[in-house]
Amino acid sequence: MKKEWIAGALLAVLLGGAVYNIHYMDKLAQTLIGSVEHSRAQMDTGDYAGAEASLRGAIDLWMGSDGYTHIFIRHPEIDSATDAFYELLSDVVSRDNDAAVGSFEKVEAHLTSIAGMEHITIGSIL
Amino acid sequence: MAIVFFRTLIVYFSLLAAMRLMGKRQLGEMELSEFIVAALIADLASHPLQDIGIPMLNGLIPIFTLFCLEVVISGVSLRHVRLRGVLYGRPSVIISHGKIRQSEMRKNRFTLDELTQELRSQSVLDIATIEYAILETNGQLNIVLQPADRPVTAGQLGIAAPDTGYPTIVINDGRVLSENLARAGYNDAWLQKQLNAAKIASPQKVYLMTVDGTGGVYVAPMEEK
Repeated sequence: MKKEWIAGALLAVLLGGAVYNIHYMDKLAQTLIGSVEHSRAQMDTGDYAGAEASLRGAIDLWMGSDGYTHIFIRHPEIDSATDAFYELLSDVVSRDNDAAVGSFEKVEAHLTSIAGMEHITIGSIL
Repeated sequence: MAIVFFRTLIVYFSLLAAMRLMGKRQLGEMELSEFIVAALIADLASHPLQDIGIPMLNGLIPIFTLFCLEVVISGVSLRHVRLRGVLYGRPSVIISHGKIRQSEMRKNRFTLDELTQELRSQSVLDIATIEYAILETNGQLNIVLQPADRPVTAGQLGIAAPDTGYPTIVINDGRVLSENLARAGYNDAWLQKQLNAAKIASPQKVYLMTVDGTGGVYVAPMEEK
């Protein structure tokens, strides 16, 4: 019976880990989206230096989470999000407001998608 | 390349541990749930090995989940007969008193070809000689012959059959298994004596040597390479 209890406990740990992962990814995505939104607002007011700094902060956080994200997220998804971040950074640095609008949306969509794909829904399971 | 190599090592040892812990030494005789786990694990394990874009955990988590489920379900089914019946099914009597039970054959999707093949593999050619043929939950067909067709035992003939015990391997491919030798109650001196009697110079020249409970020795010399 000991073996069964250990297996049951391991199942509980796996489930707990999966739930923790959902919360971690949600929190990470929310923090990043917050920074990106802040950067967007700064850019809208013409504070390009501030927008760049906020965005670089978000990129540092994203890249700093690499150790975690590479273990739990499909690598092509991570690469797409990273590309979107640098594309946006390029638009912000070049002060191209028109192009940045789409790039901001793209980054946010990637982050929402990454966090959302871990959520347990009927649609995601089936 | 290195990633694939290390991933293969991790998945291999994880699978080995999982299959070993499942407690089945004969993988050919798997119960239904074990077969499902084995089939799924084989497929799950291969994906992260081939595609390094897939996190390793995507392969390992399902493997460990399946392994844990199998341990829990098999453990619980050991204690609950009804659950065992639901999960693994029940043995089916395919032949009873020399008569094929066609409804059981249909129920188990067991064809006549499969039945005759199984019977031939067990050297049974006449269905009338079978008292019971039972299709076990692991897919094996076990046969009980009619009393008149069962092999005669020494007990039935009133003959005292000597108990030769279990033959213990003492030399395996030129290597002396000292632990087995001691367990059988012999030593190196006895071994050398046996080899001398068989005109064999050293244990390295022996492919297989066994000794049974009555001291009966079987020696297969190593063939010249």
